Amino acid sequence: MYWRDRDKVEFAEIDRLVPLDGKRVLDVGCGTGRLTIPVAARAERVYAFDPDTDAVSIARKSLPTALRRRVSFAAHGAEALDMPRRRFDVALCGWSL
Amino acid sequence: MPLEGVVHALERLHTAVTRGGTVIDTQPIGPRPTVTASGIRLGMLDCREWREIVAAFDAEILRTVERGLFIIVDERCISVKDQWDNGDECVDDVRSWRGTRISQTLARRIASANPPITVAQTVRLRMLRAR
Repeated sequence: MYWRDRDKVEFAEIDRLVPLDGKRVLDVGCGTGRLTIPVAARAERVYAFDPDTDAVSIARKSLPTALRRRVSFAAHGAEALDMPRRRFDVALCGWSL
Repeated sequence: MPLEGVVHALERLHTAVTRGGTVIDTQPIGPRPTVTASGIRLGMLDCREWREIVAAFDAEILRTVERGLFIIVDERCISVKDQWDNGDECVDDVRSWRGTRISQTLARRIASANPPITVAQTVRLRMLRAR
């Protein structure tokens, strides 16, 4: 078993920099949803995407039922992002290079 | 993400976020992350090639700053710990990381060490604001 940032230090620092309560958030390169779940617990709405279809599937399954209405998942890269203008308050690119 | 796609991806993000909206970019940047097992130091990974990839990525970000799409408003580093409960799995995972090398000696030490195996990474958080 592998845990990236098991102590969730990164999310805590992000939340200090940009309070996410009520925000509309893009989770760029969401992977298996490491940041998606804590972000969804705070944000109004999250659009999480990653080019890795398997990772997105894991992220979708990991999401607690109570948060499912706030999150939309998709499998594509950032260069294929096709959103209406000015739709989101915050974009998170966590280790997504 | 291919380097040549970075600027286009940032343009997409710029369109999607509100004016004054925030982009948070986090990247591991330590050239030699330390590996420990149950608190005992085993050695260091070689992430210098990864650092070169990050530097090239940063240059692309600066192009979007120069074009007036974003401004950099904050930058800081934190220490993040990755952890495994199995040494072989740790070695396999690390070998799959882009721009990362692990010596045979360190791989053997990790494989035979008592878990948990921890890699301490320096992670840079950079905050951009859309203009």
